[in-house]
Amino acid sequence: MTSRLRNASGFALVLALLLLWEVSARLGWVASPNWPPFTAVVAALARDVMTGEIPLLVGGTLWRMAAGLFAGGVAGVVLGLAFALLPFVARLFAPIVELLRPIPVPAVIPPLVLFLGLDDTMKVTVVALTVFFPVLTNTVQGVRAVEADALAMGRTFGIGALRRALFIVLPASLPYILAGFRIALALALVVAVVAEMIAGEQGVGHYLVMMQFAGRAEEIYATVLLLGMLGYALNRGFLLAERRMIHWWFALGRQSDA
Amino acid sequence: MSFLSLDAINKSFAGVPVMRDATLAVREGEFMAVLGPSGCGKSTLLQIAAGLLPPSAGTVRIAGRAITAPPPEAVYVFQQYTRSLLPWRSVRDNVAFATEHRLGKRRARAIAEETLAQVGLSGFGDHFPWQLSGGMQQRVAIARALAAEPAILLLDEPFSAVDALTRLDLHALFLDIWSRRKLTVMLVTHDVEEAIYLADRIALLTYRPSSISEIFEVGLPRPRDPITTRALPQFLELRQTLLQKLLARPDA
Repeated sequence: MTSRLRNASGFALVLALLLLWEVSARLGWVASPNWPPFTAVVAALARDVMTGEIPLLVGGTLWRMAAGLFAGGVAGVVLGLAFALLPFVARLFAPIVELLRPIPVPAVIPPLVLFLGLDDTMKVTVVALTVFFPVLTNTVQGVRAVEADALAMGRTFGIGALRRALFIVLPASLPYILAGFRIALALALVVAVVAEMIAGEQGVGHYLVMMQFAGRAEEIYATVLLLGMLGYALNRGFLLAERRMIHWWFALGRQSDA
Repeated sequence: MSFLSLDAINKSFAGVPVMRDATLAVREGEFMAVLGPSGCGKSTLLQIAAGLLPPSAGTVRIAGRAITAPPPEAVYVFQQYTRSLLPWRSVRDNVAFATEHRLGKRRARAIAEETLAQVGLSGFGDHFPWQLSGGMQQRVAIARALAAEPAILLLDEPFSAVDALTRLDLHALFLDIWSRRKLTVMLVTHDVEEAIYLADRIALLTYRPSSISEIFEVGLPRPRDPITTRALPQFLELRQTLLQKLLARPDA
């Protein structure tokens, strides 16, 4: 009951702030063409959604994000497993990973543009690079947390190394891997939009910059609002999928951030 | 001829010797208990016997063959069922895990149902391990070991993680399975009464660097009863002898 009340109070604050936005614009407290009322922004959003312009842009952005998430995620998991299970791989690649990891991904967009051009390939690569590191780190951590007894159990039944990796190590580290993906998911949306803002003529990011040049405040806020809702929906969807995939982890009383 | 023989096993961890010339022979069909205080390297010895840990020197033979990897005849049963059972698999699929890489999923599941019935867990196949009590989880681990049809079971204190009553229950179940399947068993434990109640012979493991110091014949008649066997003079006498040996420290 109290937690319900607390949730409700947080929701009330959101409504209050939106109301303040509306009133401040309507009553001219903030007198600027760049401060349209909230309802006008929602109307603009609805209009652009109806024309099919926004869904197309969002679809493109989401597609590039998903492709990058998949490519970077698979690479992160595979290399993470190899890192943790094969000492020579760790010795060989660890220095490179440690040198590349701190580079802010937007900084590699200009050189990537030179090699990969302005279109999908470049943007998917940028997202994949972003996703790769948190997934890699978490996979390595997850593998280290696998119970030694579970691995020895596999050996005592004569189960081979590859099968042990796929049927013991991978599922046991899945909670950690998914935690990495959750971080990566948020970053992937950010980076996908940033890449579109910097280069090329695609997606929500590019649209946002265009609207800024055109001075169309309503569209700018509408896009920002949409991205906010999109990020929220992606995270919620991910948490739901996570609950299904590693239900056993939650049943064992492990905490989630949900 | 012994079924499992440990011949002059030495083991060092990071240069520190923990085991020196441990020698033990387990006969076919025998129930051998290895008794020792905590931290004397019982699990180390058992893992070496299972081929899970290489000895620094010495030879392990199972069915006459020197082994360097886990042999198909032997299955190791772990002390902590929560760590060796896979929480993402149902009880049935946990048991099937022991054989599905050899027999395929269908056959492995059918065997799993059979062995689950043998440990009194029919109807629990669809549960997850963490939905069961500790004693039931250890039964799942035993069923999984039996599914692989081993000739020898290597038990690492599998009855120590459950409460006292459940332990008696598991003892009875296990003795029944042991005699029906004509298994060879090597059990390590620190529980003197458990060793006497279950075993044919008891090997005493000394402090580090540990080795087998003495072997005792239990000689109690079978089938044994959880209550009356424990009251036999022979039982009490052996219990006293073993406790005295265990409590006598080398520096005392």
